[in-house]
Amino acid sequence: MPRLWRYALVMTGNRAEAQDLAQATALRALERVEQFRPGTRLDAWCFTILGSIWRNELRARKVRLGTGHIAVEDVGLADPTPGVEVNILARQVLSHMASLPEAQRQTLYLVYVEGFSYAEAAAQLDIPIGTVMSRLANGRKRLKQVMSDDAAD
Amino acid sequence: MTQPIEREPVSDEAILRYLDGHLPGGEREAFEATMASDGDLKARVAEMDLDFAPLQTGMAALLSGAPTFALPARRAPIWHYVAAAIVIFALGVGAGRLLPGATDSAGWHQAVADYQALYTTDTVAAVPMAPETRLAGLDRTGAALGLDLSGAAEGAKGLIFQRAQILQIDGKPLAQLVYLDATGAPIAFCITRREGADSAPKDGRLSGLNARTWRDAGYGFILIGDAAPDALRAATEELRGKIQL
Repeated sequence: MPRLWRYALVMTGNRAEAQDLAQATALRALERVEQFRPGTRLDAWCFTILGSIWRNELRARKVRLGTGHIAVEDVGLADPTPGVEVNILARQVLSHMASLPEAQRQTLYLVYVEGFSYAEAAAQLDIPIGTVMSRLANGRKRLKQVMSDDAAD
Repeated sequence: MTQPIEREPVSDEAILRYLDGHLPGGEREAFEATMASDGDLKARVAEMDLDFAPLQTGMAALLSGAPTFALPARRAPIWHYVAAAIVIFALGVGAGRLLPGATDSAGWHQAVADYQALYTTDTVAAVPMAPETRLAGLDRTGAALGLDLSGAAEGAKGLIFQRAQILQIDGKPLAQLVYLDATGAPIAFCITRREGADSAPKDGRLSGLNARTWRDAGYGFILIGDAAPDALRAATEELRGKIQL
């Protein structure tokens, strides 16, 4: 569940919405639990549901409301955190991720943070594997740029 | 940025495969050989070459900030959390074998096991909680079952109490007390009302975890986790002595 929430946080950039999204995902998963195929990965299945709710419902709402932009400073990280440095690092990586276009951010997250393969990410996002790879390639370039700019500050 | 036009330019995809370690041995060597003589390719690789370790560390740190969906907290009304707890529980049940039908004793044990199998050390340790919060959670959980669980906070040899929460099975409350053992493995102690005669603790193996199950005074108990059967037996005896029935 923390992993679903984190994925939701990376996508929404906002704690309250991340919680709603993670909760909606859990509810949807329950409604459709009979569609889960035993022997496949439960986490990947939940991630797929989260991605689809985000894509089809919440994101559309945010864009309509004109609040699609992510302000990382608004991401109130929980208070009982293990240490200040970790908190800063977490904030920093979120802010780096937030600077990526959504499609790149999502794909990079699934592959480099969650460790899904190109093929698994493609299946989750319902896109061709070539698209996954070009998002990763472009996302890497962009993230590298953002991180080196940040380091230069 | 301009790309020099070459006959067979190396694609971004190939660079990506190289960086992600997905090029088979021969292709990898060929790629490195090309890179050694092709400054342009080298520069393109450098543009995409990124150390993901800080990202992964930062992201790992974020997990500890995740809200505990099963516990009442500040923001949402309590039913949100109760609903979430039920859902999370159902997710733990996995393939839906048990949903939403009746669960015999083997059924509820299996449901707990499937749920517990999703736990890692981080699930438990990453949610720091003040001692009084832990105890309040334990009180609430005990009250839902009509039991005094306060003794369970003492844990047992090698088991340190972490938190308690109320889940549900078959419309009845299910108390889940979570402990960490000396190796950091999460161990769950779960209690729910079960009709039927008392039965002495016995060993079990469910969803790849070792378990002890028993029934006392109209309650069913299970102690389960990735721990040696001996350790679970000893902990069972201690915990049994600490629950007031």
